[in-house]
Order: sequence, then structure tokens, then C-alpha cells
Amino acid sequence: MNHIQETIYYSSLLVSLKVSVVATLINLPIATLLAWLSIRRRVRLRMLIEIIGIIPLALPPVTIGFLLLIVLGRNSIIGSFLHDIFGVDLIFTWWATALAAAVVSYPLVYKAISIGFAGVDSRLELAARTLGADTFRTFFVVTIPLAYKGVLAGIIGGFVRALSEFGATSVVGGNIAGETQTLPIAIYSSVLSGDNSAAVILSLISGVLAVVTLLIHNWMSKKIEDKNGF
Amino acid sequence: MDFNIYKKYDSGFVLNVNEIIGDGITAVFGTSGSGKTTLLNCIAGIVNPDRGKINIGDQILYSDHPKVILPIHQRRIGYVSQEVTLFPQMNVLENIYFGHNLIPQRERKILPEYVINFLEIEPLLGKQISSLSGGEKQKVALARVLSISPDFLLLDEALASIDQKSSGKIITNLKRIWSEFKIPMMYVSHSISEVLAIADHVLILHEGRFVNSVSSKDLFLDTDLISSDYWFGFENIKSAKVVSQINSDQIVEIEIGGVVFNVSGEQILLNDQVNVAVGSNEIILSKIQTFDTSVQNIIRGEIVSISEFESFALVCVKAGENFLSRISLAAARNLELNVGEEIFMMIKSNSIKVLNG
Repeated sequence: MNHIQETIYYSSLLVSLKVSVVATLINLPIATLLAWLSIRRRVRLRMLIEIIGIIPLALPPVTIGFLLLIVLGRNSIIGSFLHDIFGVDLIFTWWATALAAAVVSYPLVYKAISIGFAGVDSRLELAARTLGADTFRTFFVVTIPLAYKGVLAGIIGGFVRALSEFGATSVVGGNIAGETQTLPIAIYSSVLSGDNSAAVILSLISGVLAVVTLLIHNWMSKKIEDKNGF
Repeated sequence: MDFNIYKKYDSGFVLNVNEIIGDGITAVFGTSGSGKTTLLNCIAGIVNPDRGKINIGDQILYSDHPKVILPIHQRRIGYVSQEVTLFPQMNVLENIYFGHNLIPQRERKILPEYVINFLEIEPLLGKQISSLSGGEKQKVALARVLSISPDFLLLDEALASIDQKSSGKIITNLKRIWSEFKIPMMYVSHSISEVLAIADHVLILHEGRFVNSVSSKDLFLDTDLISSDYWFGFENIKSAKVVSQINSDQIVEIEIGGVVFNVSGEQILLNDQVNVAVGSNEIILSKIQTFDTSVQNIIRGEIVSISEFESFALVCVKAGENFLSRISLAAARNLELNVGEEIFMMIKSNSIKVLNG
């Protein structure tokens, strides 16, 4: 193993972690809010929320990447706005990679949190309201703790999906080592360049990362379960 | 509290009620679908009426003109439902303090420590909700609502989800809550036994309207205000004091309204205040006092009312307190009972169930 290879393993691991964490952080508040609106508030736009929650699953990731390229490119409204006002070009940055990973993993986060909310007895939320808690406090003190299994599954599921994302991220982020080259993209590069041993090591790193993430999920579930008693 | 509520549902059901609720415990008795829960939900703010007004003293909870809708969390109404809604992710102590911690310091008239002591639930404080019995859960639910210093208590079938043995303490506690904290209560139930055991006043709700408003005492005398179906399984639930230790025959003496009754095999202590239940069909009536019988309680009383239904008669006998006896129509005819007559109630000692679980 030479120094360049070591650097690629290390940098692609870091990029993958950074991209996945940011993707999860983007998804969490959006998916939580939309899942709550859909399950608890029965809003008129419920069907639209449901469609948004499922469509990234139905589209090929490359298509999602392509659409993001159009939406965020310098010729688009958003892209030109960001470029002209802030001097920022998102395409081929790790932010674009994170955004692409967020879009692709969003359905998993949304669905798991929705199931978590649907499992919360609404009478407990009403009880909290009658005891003096406003909607905001009820949500954070009663709903979220009771829906923790769904929320945790959403966080972990979304994170793992973001880790493994290749199609959309490679389209909007490209393959820039240390910037947008995630583990799956680094594996693809290694395979293309015939460096099978590097591909194997990178695959092993991906596998270990997935297992560690699942172990963390189980540990956290157990901790909360022990505390809550359910 | 006074309210004037009109609420119409898509199903066609209309709740249209108008009442002033006084102090003490008021029961709303009604069949399934009569609108009891809708009424409670309107008062608590869970459902908004189509029109009307709801006030507690000077505070307007709801008014259609001028439009006022006080949010649920600002109403300060303690709501205890049939299905106990304790938060499972919190222990007993955290549940009790949940609402108390949300109200301003100056409005905390009732302290949780006092309530915990009052309801004797200190041993439960560190426990998880899932480890509590039905009766314990209901006590904790009461402690939790009392700790928000409520202006009014709504109790929706509060005894329905607990076993009869445990219900006695809850009944006692509800009465003690009124005498101790002076919080008016509305107790909603389809069990006339519970209603007469708990409430001072009864509102009879039928198809969304109050059809009668009577005192509990009057309902004993005027039983045909309610359909016979609801009297069929009626139990006389009475507050009693234990006046003797258990004797060698495993009999304990209890006193109800100044009259002593024998109860068999109950582990209760001298001077305990307990609630007891006697099924109306367990009270046998006799015009003559007979001693050659295995029955341990032969109580002299006076017939104060007789109501005949399609398949049975209900006889109200005053013996210290009023007791309802359900007898067959044939028995009522054969005995030729008349109001004002002397009558003997015969009750087996094991037909008196002590509710102190």
C-alpha cells in the first residue's frame, strides 16, 4: 500500500462521512416536518407530500443527479442567484454531493419517521395539550420521544443510504479526490483504473462503516429502550 | 361552569346542550353515542362547537360571538379519560410534574408533593408506567391533573378501564378531591351504578340533548327516568366504615348510614373507610322478619319507591341510606308492596363486596 493509496482511502472515507452526515442533517428537519404534517395535521397538500416522499425512490439516481445539475447549474435560476449574489458555484463541490445524497436518501428518512409518528397514540399528545403543553412542546417532549424508533431508523437508514450513493453524487459532484470523491466513487475509479486491490480495501471500509453504523443504531435503540421501558 | 353548545357532525348527529354546572361532582349519564365524549371534547377544546359559548366563571373558553377560542393548553381543565394517557417514556414522578412545571409559578395553587401524599402514591414515584396496575395508573392520572391546579375536572368513564375491586379507592378519592380542593368535576359515564356512587347531581344526555337534570338522591326514587337496560345490572355502591375486627366466623361488621352490615372474609381493618358494592339482585325483600335463615344481614327498612319495568321491578328501600333491590314482576305482585311500608332486606354476607383494592 503506497502513500497515495492511503490518502485516497482516508480522504474518500472522510468525504463520505461528511457528505452523509450533512445529507442526514438536511433531511432530518424536512422529513420530520413533512411527516408530521402528513400524519398529524392531515393537510390538504398531503398527497403532494407523499409524492415528494416517494419519488426519489422511483427515479434512477443518475436522473436525480441530472435534474440537480439542471436546477443548481449556473444557467438555472437558483444557480445563477447563488453565483451572482454569493459567488458560489455548487456544482462539483461536496455540498452538491451532499445535496444529491440527501435527495436520494430522503424517502427512507421520510417513510421511517412517518411510520414512527403514525405509531404514536394521539391521545397522549392531546393529554399533553390539556396539561398545558403547546404544540411545539408536545411535539418535542411527547411525539418525538414516542416515535424514537422511527426517527432513529430514519436517521440511520438515511445515513447508510447516503453512504452508498453513487449515481446522483457522481453526476453533480464529479470525482474530485478529497472534495467530492466518496467511497463508492473511489471504488468505481479504482475498478476503472484496474487497481482491484484498492477497490477491495475501499469496499471493506464501506462494509465496516455500514456495520459500525448499524451497531450504533442498535446501541442507541437499546439505551433509549432501557430508559423508556418500551 | 356554564355552557351553551351546538355541534353538528356530517353523520347528522347534533349535540345541543345548555347547562350551568354547579359545585361538587356532576355526572353526565348517557348511552353510547348520546354525545358525552363530544361534550367533554368541546369543553376541553379538543373539538370546537359550531356555535355557542363555554365559560368557567369570568373566563371565556369558547364563544362564537365575539369569536373566542381559548387554545387547549391554556384552558386549565384537568381531563382524565377512560384510557389512561400517562406518558410511557416518563416515570410516575415525571408524569406528575409534566403539567405542573408548565404553569406560571404564581398560579401553582396545588403542589404535586401535596397531591402525592394525598393520594398515597409515594411508593410509585420511581416506577415506569408499564409496571403499574390499572388502579395505580388512574391514581397517577388524577395526581397529574390535580398538579396543574385545574379550574375544572373532566372525568370520562374514569372507572371503566379498571377492575371493580380497584374502583373503590378511586371513588373515595374523587369525593375527597372535591372536599379537599373544591374543584368542580364533571363525571361522564354510562354506568348508573358509578354515577350514583360518585355524583351529587346527574344530567341525563339522550341523542345530544339533556333530557333530565336530577339530584342523585332523586334518581334513586325516580328510577324510570332511565331505561331499564341500565338498571338491570345495577350495584348499590356505598361508603362504609369498618366497625369491628374480623371475628372467628370470618365476619367483619361495617356501617352504612348508621346501619350495621355483616361482611364475610374481607381483609379490612377496624375504622377503615371503604366502599362496598351490593348488586340490586342480591337484595332479597321480605315482609316478615325471619331468623331461620343462613342470610347474615336482615335489615329493617322502608319502601320509598317502586318502579315497574317490562321485566322487573326496582324497589328503593331506605335503611340508613337508599338501596335498590331488583325483583321480578311476579314477586312484586305477590308481595303486594306499597310505598311507605316496612320491609326487610336480606343480604348474604358474601354478597357485599368490599372495593378497596
